[in-house]
Amino acid sequence: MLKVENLKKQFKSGDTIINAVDGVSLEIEEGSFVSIIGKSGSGKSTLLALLGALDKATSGKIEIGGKEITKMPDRKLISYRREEIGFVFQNYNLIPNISALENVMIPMELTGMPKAKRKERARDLLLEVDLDENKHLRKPSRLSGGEQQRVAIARALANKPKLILADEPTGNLDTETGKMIDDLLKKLAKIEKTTIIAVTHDQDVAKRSDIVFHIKDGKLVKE
Amino acid sequence: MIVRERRKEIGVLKAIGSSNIKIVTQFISESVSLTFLGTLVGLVAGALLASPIMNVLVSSSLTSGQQPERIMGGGIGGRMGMVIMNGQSTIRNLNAVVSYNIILYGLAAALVIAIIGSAIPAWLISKVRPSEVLRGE
Repeated sequence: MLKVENLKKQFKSGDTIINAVDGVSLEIEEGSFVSIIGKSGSGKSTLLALLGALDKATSGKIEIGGKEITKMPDRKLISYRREEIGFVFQNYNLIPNISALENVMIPMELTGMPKAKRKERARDLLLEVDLDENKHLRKPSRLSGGEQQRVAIARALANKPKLILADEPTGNLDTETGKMIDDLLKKLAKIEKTTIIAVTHDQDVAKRSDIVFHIKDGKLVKE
Repeated sequence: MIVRERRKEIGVLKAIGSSNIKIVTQFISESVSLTFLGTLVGLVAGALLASPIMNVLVSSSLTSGQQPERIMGGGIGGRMGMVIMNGQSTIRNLNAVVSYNIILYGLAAALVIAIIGSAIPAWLISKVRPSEVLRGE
């Protein structure tokens, strides 16, 4: 389902070229929960940004569901991100001045779904991630970190993506809340048949994954 | 300024599949809505406060007991007067004049500034890759 071949991303820092992602190749089946572990600066977030088409690779190939995204023009990448990818960020990255429900509605609004339908789906998703109904209309600042991350997961699932990319999804949470968020992601991967790739430096997250990769100096090794 | 402060929000919107045009349109519509709201508040406040403020200003600048020669002028919604004393002109009995033309010119100027002021920074930031915006938060 997800196939990566010899993927490279280089950055220039003065006269030096940094290989943030250095010849990564991998294959991941649909519905898997995958962890990529690495220290800070190992290239894990850059790899995630490339998989999510947030950044352009220097060379190599990424194929998702038979579509090669490394060859797509920017216009197509926008709809690829909208329809086939869901993002979960370490800092939640919810829009601060709108409610939890409206945050979940945004990706559906971008696809042109009618308001009543997207409101209903957003409500269902928030219930699916166990966010109490009386908190649906609260703004993110009035939710705890764990609750905000639940909203972010619901938003990531909004357009039924094939792939969810999570960048340190439990990085800002305490151990217990982190485990709950992890279990939730794993449960949803099965229910929604979505592949989840989470980058983390947390060994506990990795233990609960189907597949674990280690990344060091931009190079990937399967555990 | 507001657009720059919302750089991260633009990055998030791009990451979840919003197009550059959509982002710029959203910022322009927010800016235009705020401009209309500001115009409305400004008009109401101006209509209510202009006369009392001017009366205070005029009365405090006049010397009592002088008989002025009055010259009239003005427009819709008010009038203004001028007194000439000892060869020098002094403003007296000045009422606010709210001309429709002035309101329209003011609104048009505010709208143009609002559109340009929101569209240009929003467009510049929307051209940046979302990974850069999110990385730089």
